[in-house]
Amino acid sequence: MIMPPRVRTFALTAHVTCSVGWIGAVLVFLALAIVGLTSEDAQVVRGAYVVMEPVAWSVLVPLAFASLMTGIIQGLGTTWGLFRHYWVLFKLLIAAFATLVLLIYMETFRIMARVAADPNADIAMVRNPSPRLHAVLALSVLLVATVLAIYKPRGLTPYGRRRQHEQRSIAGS
Amino acid sequence: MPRKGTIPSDIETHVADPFRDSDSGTENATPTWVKVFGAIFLAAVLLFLILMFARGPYRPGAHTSSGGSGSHMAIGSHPA
Repeated sequence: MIMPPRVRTFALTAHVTCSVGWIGAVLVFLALAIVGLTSEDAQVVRGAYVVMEPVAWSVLVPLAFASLMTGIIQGLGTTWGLFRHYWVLFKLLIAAFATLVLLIYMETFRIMARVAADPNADIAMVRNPSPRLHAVLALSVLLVATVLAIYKPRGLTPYGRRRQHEQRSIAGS
Repeated sequence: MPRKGTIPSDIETHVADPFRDSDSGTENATPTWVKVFGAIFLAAVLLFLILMFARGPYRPGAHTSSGGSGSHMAIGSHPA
């Protein structure tokens, strides 16, 4: 079902807001990860890893799902479709993959927070380069998705070509 | 400048004409960028799966350059 222009604009605004917010949240996590790795203050290091889990649950995960859902709505509610254009398909795959990895990584956040909260744990044990690596990778794939959304490179999927052919046949008859 | 109440021209153009320039014969072939992206995406997914299943669950200190001090209890070994 194709959305009317006003609804479409609203949905696009929601999608852009959620997606940009997701990138911003990942940037904050990258900053937290760098603080955790480089700070000389043990309390700051512990605090950085402790705060990651609740912030991820309250910001990263909701934004990831919101971006994915609003993207699906955008695809289904416009003539772009979800599976007609390669750039839309890749964006969908990137968002779904990034969300899945994030959900799996939540367990790592939980364990890191427990280690950081343990006063007996050595600070070298608390420091962990994993969040920095994951934040850089997440930032990279989200930026790729953003570039795809802006440039919209050409290319129809076989399904998109079939649909286009059908539409032209209907229009010609 | 778009009229008041209208959708910005760039967005409107892209939304309204998704099949732009699709009459060219090149549309029937898979674009090069799709092949490159597809290969990179598949490689990334495979790498993720290999790492996930080969390394198993996360262990604290496993990522540190020293491999952890070894002087601390594993997380799962805390007394109940």
